[in-house]
Amino acid sequence: MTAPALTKRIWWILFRNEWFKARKRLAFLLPLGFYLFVTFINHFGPAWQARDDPDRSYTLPEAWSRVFGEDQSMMLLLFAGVCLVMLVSSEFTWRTARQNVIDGLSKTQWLVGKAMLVPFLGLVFLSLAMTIGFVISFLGTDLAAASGPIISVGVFKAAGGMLLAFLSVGGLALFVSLSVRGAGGAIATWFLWIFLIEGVIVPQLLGRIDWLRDYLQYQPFTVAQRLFGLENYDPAAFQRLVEAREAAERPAPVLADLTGVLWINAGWAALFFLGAFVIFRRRDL
Amino acid sequence: MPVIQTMGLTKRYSGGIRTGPTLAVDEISFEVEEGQVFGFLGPNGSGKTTTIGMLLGIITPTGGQFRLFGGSTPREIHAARQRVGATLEYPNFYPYMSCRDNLDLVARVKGRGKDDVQEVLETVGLQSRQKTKFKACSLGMKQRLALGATMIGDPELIVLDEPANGLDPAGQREIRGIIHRLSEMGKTIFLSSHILHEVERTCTHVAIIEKGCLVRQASVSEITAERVVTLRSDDLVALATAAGEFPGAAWARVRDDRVVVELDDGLPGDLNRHLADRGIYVSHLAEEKTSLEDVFMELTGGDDGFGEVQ
Repeated sequence: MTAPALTKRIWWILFRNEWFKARKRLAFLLPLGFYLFVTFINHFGPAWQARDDPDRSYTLPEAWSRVFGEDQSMMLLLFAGVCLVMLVSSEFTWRTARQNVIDGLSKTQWLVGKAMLVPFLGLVFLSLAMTIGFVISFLGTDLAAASGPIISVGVFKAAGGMLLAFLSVGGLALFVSLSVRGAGGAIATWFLWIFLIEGVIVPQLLGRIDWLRDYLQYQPFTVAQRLFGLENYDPAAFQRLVEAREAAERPAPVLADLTGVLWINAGWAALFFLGAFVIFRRRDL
Repeated sequence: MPVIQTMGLTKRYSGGIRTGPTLAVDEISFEVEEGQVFGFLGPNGSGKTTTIGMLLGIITPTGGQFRLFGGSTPREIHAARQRVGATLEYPNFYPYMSCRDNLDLVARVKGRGKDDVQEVLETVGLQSRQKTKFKACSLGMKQRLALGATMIGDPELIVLDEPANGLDPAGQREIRGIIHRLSEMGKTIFLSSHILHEVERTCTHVAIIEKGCLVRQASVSEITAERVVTLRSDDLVALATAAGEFPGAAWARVRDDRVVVELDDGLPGDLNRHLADRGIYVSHLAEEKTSLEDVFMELTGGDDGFGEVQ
């Protein structure tokens, strides 16, 4: 009998199986559908308003700021994260994780299959947001009157930043899913971490200690959020933001220390993936 | 070369603060040779599933070692597991997928194609229900699907944990038929079951495990060649007590409406005289072959309502 070779082929088998399982699963398709709907609304709303109001416009390249804005980025992290938790933790409830290993995968191969879901889901959700944002704003764009190239290098950099942000937040979701081993508990723990523990409890506890206060900005979800925003990657978008703030008599924006934030985010992602690997390897199925 | 060989295989769970450590499997050593239909028997919680889990690589042993097709290193065992088809405890499949889709997934992992899946669906009689979602399957269908999944890739060793669990007699018979066919094809079958008469009919060899320890390993023919004496009287407890005191009795136990005695030494007539001397007159005395159930109940201390009298 042919054993799956521990080469490129097994990567393809793992990816194909994970995609096969995901695309037939309602718990994946429903959040994906809802994400598509809210993403559409997020872009269709301003485009519709721009039709009736000559003071408003929703055109390229300005519309990219909305694609990589805080609202859209948060939706991406949360919806893709929930999908990831559903796809990983249910394998323990149904005991299919153990059966996959019995059927011939090694534990490492099984984990690699799940870890591949993190960048894959990030790419899928990001591509959908970019496509919907691009198509809707392109319909109202007069190419001759555009303020610059409709797709700049900054757009790709922002997409890379967004993907890296999901690697750490998704890595956390993977770690929690493998630790808790149940969909409900894992989603609750993940939300608890990013909103309550990181957003409230840790700042309350450590914020009182002077020398620790500065480190609060390096918590995983906080760091991931600092990767949002086209203005961090595109000088033209930053300039537009400065002008908009000045016009609104609001303080000028401050650019994130992107290199440092990227490294810290990559560090968190690596730590969560390593933690997921260690905890999965140590425990019996 | 044995297909499975365990040497002092041990699993100890560290447990929680309240429960403390648990010794689930205690230095088990046994061998399964090629072509055997090997029954692995034991009461609930005796360590059967843990032992099988260690052999299949989903539970890490805390002591001892095992060989699968002669391989003992993690790499060799992983390679050897490609020659094994197995199911553990319940049929574990994706509930939202059809029988066919579930088998397709298994086939891909085993490097097999759609033809193998079709063949297996026909063998286990699920070809007409291949589009039924797993969650909508009856228990019998689920068991057949699990059996089918183990057969994908034509494995040399098939490990089945309670394959007839929850099935009606017709379903049990069907599973038995499939196991017989697999056995005739030269497969080695490692089977754990509670249904002792099924095991007696199906298996060539058995090992009995109790509280994590191996208490007996023998061929079924060897076990059923042993003889016991069955007795009846008005007071079964007094009869069993007196029979247990007979110097040649290995054990005496109340079972249903009779007392079963295994004689190490002496004849049934000597036993009858021993009982009569104590004022116990039997209404029935017969020498019979030992059943696997008799041996299992004796070795595992199975309680049938009256308790054991030794």
